[in-house]
Amino acid sequence: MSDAHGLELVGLTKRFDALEVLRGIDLSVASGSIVALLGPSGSGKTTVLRILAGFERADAGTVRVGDTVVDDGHHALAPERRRVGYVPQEGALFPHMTVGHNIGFGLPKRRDRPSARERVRELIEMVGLQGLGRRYPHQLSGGQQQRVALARALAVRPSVILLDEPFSSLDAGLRASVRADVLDVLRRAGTTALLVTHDQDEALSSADAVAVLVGGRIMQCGTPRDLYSHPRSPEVARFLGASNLLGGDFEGAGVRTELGVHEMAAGAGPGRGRATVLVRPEQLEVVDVAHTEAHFGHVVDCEFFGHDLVVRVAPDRDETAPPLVARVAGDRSLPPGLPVRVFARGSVVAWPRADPEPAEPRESAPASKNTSM
Amino acid sequence: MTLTELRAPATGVPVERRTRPPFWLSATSGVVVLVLALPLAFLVLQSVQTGWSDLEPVLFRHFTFTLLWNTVRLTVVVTALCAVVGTLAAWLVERTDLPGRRVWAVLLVLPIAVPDFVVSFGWVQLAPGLSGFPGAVLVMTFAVYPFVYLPVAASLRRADPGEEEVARSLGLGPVQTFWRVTVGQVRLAILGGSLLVALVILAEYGAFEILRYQTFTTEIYTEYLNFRTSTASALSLVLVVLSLAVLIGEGASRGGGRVARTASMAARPPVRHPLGRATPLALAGCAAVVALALGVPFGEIFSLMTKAGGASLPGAASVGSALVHTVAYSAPAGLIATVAALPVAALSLRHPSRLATLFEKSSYLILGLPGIVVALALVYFTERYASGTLYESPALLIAAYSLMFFPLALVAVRTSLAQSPPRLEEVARSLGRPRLEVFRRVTLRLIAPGLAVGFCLVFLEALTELTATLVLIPPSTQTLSTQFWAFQTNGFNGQAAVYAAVIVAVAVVPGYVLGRWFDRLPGAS
Repeated sequence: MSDAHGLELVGLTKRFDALEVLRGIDLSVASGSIVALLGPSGSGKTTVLRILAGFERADAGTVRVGDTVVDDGHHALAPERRRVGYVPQEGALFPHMTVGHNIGFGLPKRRDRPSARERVRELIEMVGLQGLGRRYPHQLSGGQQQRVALARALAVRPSVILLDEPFSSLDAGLRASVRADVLDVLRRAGTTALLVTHDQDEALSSADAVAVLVGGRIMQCGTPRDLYSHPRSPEVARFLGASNLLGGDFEGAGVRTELGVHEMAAGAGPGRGRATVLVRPEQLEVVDVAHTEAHFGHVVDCEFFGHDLVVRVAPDRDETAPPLVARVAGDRSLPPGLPVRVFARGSVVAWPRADPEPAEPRESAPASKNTSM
Repeated sequence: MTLTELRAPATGVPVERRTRPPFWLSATSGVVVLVLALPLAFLVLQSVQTGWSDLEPVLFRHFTFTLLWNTVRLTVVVTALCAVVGTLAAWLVERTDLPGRRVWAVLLVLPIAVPDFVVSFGWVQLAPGLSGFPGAVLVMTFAVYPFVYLPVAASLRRADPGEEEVARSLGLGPVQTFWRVTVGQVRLAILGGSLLVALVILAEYGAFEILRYQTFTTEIYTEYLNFRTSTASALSLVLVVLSLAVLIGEGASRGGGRVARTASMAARPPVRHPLGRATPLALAGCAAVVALALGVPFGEIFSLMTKAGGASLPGAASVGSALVHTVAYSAPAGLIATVAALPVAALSLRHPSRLATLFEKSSYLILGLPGIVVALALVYFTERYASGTLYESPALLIAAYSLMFFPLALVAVRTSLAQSPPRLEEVARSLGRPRLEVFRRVTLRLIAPGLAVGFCLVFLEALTELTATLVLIPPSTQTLSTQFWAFQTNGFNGQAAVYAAVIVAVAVVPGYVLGRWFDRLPGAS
């Protein structure tokens, strides 16, 4: 069974002086798959990566790369003996070496020189930088540097490759294309990869599985679709994108909120008592009505994204409550102040709420950035 | 692979801190710092042997207070003047549209290559009446201001010009912006340079002897010459206390503030302020500094050599022999000091801790010690523990130079190591290369210019060292500076001028390297 593991973390903990950074991380990455480690800044993502690479040591827990235990909290294997490739955020190319020498850095130097040269050529081709082998890093664009960093890490055929927010320093236009190229290269090389990111769109769109790390703990790990449609907690839901978290009550097989009674998503069993209900912006339908008719609230403002429109609606019932966020077709015209009714389509996710307080204010996160593909 | 095959020691203990340095690094740094402490140990041993009852009258006689007053006021005034001259000159060259900036950049650094005693020698030839406090202030300011100019110029080039623009947009005038933003950005560079200036002044001998200005260092030399070792040691300890005060003062002025770049992208080229109608004034200022620091000594050396005529000048053979010996002693010292600075700099930068800081800071103390103290300490310890076999050997002289000017090497190595990101070493190791190979192929290549600068600084100072050389020089050999000194002391100024000219000629090469290196620091346009 150990063969299936590209990478496994068991009970990993780490503290820096008084600060407990990792509080028992369990994570398993199947060989050949790409897993995104998603978390807000300060959640401990980079520390996980640095322990995996061997730049930091675990306080307790086990780190396994393939069949090898590389750190068990007492003994740690030196970074150079782990076969763990590392692509840092800013690429960190050796400034005094050409692209070719950067890529060939980890290859055995003296013996097999022709084969090393062959390997470098192969990788330059793989990352699409033909003809740039003799350039120096400062003569490359940010995206090109990132691809060289990837080729350099892949050259030594590592068991696992770690990518530390590798696209965050690229501008939005470039980011999508470099990301697609890099993922393509990784999949073709069949390398197990762990991608650290704080960008939920990036995590959801690029990885086979996503692990959400908050406050030094893995909150949930699963496929992007699973995570998005069945977040295990409101925190995960909030972190995975724009969401309306409404107060409500379980009612039979469904759940009731101020928007009506909703069907529960498959897999979520019926509950009892009060609930926190997740309604995605794209589930909401906004209908403008005449002033005289019964309406839910008024349009606060709209953000226009071209293909769609994110509209915020303040409920009349309680003007101080945070507005509902809805994503509607881009050709709609919804001027501020317009009275509207709001409907929810499809099934929702709900969690029982422990806290007995009545009428908890609805929570909402800002609309997802429009950088998704 | 299983656990038993892991490289870590069998009795592995969980690591508590991420900054724990490898043992060999702490150990090497510790050894370097201990060796640097030898002169201090020597002074303490001497004083203990002498006893307080004998030291007290020496320490509290009126003359000691005169020396203290002379030394302190000179150090304070010259350090302040150097800070002003060095910072203004650096600002003019780096941040204004001063005509001929590249030429000024070289000319303003070059005084670092002219020995202090050559500057004072030139000035005394020009104005025989020049002596005492005003003379010492004038000569020392223009001899050592490059210690401030170099780091400030480098720091100005790295500083984010955006901060100045923000200050202007917030309603500050150009002068206010200079004081509140620009000076703030380079504050640490000014402090670091001033620290070196103060320590160098405390230890200076030759220039003050020529100018007939008495400081602790000149008096310590006289006392040793007259075999009043205990008095000399007592005075040296006072000097150590002064150096300590300088170091603590510098540390306290650093404060907790950080000068950090928020942007991770490459710096924009600095915006140059148009000087406008102030251009002639700025040009005149730079010309005056260069004339006072370079023109006077060069002019006087040249006129002395031509006046003396060919016949009475020293033969090429003796000059050549002195030159060879000088280089043979100074170059290895540059090498040793630079290599020894590596572990101390690496420890303090890559594994910061109180101990590492203590190691680093304490190593600066030796720069404020007179050369003769270092020399006698080495003689004392080799006589005790190596039965005197090393006395008057080249090895001991080289060791003395390496110790005395170690702090200069440390400054240079530390600066370049700070600019070599540890991230690169980590990546290199994750590519499967062992630590030593990574050091050789990555770190060493990146810090090579800094090592060259460290070597040049030590080499330059060793080239012109006087008092330790006079004590330790192997029998029947001469160096350029001992020859200069012998001729100068006996009034043969023409011959002395020849040696001064050769010293300057040799020193200009490393001086030029220094200027070039700072010109190529990150952010250079």
